[in-house]
Amino acid sequence: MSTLSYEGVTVELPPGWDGAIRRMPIPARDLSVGAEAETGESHVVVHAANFPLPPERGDFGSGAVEIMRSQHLLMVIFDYGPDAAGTALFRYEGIPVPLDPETFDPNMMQRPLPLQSGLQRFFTVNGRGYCLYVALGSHRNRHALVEQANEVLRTLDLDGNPVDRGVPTPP
Amino acid sequence: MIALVIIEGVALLLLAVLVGGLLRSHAEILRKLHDLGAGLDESAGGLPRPVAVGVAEPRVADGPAVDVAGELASGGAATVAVVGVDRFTLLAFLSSGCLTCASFWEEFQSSQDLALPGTDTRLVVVTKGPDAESPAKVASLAPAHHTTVMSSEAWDDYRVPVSPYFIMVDGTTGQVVGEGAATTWAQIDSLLRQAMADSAPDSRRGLNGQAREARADETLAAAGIEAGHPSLYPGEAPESER
Repeated sequence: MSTLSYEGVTVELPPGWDGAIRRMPIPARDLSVGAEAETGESHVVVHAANFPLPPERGDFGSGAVEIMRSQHLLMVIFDYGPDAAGTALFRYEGIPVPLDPETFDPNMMQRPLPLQSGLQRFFTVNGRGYCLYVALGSHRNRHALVEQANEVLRTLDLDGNPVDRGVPTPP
Repeated sequence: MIALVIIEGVALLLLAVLVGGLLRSHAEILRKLHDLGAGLDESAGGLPRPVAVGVAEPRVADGPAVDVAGELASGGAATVAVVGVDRFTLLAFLSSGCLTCASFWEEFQSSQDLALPGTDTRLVVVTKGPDAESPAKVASLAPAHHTTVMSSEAWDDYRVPVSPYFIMVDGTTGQVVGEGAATTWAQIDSLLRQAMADSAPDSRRGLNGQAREARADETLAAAGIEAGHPSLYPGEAPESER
């Protein structure tokens, strides 16, 4: 296991996994107050994958999911910040783990790709809203792949708040 | 009085022997430093500098390879799997300031589909960490299509002697299979291809990782067995029935 830690986020990655934690500027179109240069707002994005992560990829894995093969999976944790915390979409408190393989759906992919499936969970930790997005290279392999995802999720620590091991409620 | 002179003479003799020993030791240290390529006129503080070129001396003892963990030049942290994977990884240890490295930065920037030794080989550029490199400079040099990590720890782990320096790791065995320094990509390419050919068992020559998987897929497809074919999942219901 290798430890990846940055900006208060820590996660343990199994052998063979790539990971990155980046602080990305919020695109101006998402801000009601103007360009990002005027606000300096940004968010933390975590990418973890059991395949080589391409250096150029979108927040939700565009550029990476296209090269996934059947045994691959990509996990994204996107920090929506304090404004999102506690809102209806983010009402679930704690990191949602374990994930249920049967809740994965090909239509949950940010960009649907043949044979792949995905899952999104929105939740709040320590007053910040997060989105967990998991993409599977093969829906057929979802049981084995989700087991790997859960193994990693159980090591996740967001801002000093380790994973909530309770049973998740649907968001 | 005579005794005093004798004692003084002995003391002087001992001092002479001591000074001679120190001078000899100092000369030995300078000679060793010179052999290692450390000149007295180098800038202190780990500043980037041109380095001697040519194929580096093989290291006496290679330890097992390790994953590369460090910082991203654009901000953030990253870990790159090098061992425990079914592929080769070419680690390119570069500096932002060394003259010889410049040609490699340009080569990697301009070549999205760089012809790497092996079939499924991944190129990872490793610079020293922000303590020794400027993240902004590294970000301006980092190739868009190849991962770049800033990690002084990786330089220490792999005992990188000079820059540029290249190390090829077999992710399956976790061992370094080739390494060296050169002035051009062509030299490195040739060096590493030879090292890989020498180290690989017959069953691994030519194909590995995704290439083997792709070849298996092609063979199955030629036999009319596509993804989802029931014969691939004995005892299970077809996907369409779930």
